[in-house]
Amino acid sequence: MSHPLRGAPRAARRPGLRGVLDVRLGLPLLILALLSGWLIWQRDWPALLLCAAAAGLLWARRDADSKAKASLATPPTLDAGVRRMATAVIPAWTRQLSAIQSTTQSGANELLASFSNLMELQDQFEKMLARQATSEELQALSRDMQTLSEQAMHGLQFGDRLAQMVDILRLDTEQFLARMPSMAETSDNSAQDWLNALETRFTTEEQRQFHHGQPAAPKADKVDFF
Amino acid sequence: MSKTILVVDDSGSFRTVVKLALQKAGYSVIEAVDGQDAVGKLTGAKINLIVCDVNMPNMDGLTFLKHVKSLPAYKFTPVIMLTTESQEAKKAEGRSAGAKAWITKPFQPSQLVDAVNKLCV
Repeated sequence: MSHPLRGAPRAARRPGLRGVLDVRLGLPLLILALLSGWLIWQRDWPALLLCAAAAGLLWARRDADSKAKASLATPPTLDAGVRRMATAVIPAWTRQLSAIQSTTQSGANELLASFSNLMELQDQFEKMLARQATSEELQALSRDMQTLSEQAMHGLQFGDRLAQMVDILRLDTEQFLARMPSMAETSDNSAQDWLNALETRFTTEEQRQFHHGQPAAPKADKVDFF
Repeated sequence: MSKTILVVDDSGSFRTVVKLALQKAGYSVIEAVDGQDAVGKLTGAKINLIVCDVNMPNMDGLTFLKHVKSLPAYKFTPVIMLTTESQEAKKAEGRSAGAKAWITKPFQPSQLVDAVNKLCV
């Protein structure tokens, strides 16, 4: 876990220069105070007035300087919180992008295979027409076409799965942006809670496997009867 | 007269794939875009079987399934859940709510037709 001050400016961690500035302003104030006492003793009121004005200016400068110092010393907790959350969440998004890539690839391959087989079948059909094929041959061709159209319909479904996967990722990035201003108090636990919430939105086994950094295992189409 | 299947899915492409497969097998198909839309389609039509997605806006598939099973006219109408959801807990929820089959997407159209033929008696 990173320390909240790890990314802070060097001046915030080592206030030496600021300390010198304090002494530089504090000493003239002390001298002015002593001078004021002497001027009161001498009853030199105009000089005392000038002395008081100079002291006021110095005090205002010291006040502004201490405020600036305080703001520099404040740990950048929001940055640290966002950094901690991003460190946990962005790799999970990257893994989901890999899942999307895998789904795209397998869907495209399946469709390409269908079209390639379809073109082959078309060649066969033309040859059959040329040599006046038997009805048995034509029936066999019809069955092959049925299988191919099934394969194409199976392949076409990847588009919908992709849309679903992209939508989950889009919603999560939007939520991340919306939550960013309140991420100052982020802990390792809240980063884990975020990842768990993201996982509950997954519907496919592939998304869950990629979420845990596991390669997607091939899945057989299955019907469960109750 | 052909039997009527109500297909409930928020994805237009899935509804088309299911419709093509079922119409080719001789069924009539009524489409609904989500559970809420499907509730409206139940009235005034004789539906023999329902094919329903799980994750949908407005009313999800499991809520719709529970609603269907609470209606006397549809209490015994078989419902097939057709979804990308493959978690055993969700399947168990579907089973206890009264679903007759659970098909995980992507599916082979012939598998769906076989399941419909088996349940749509």
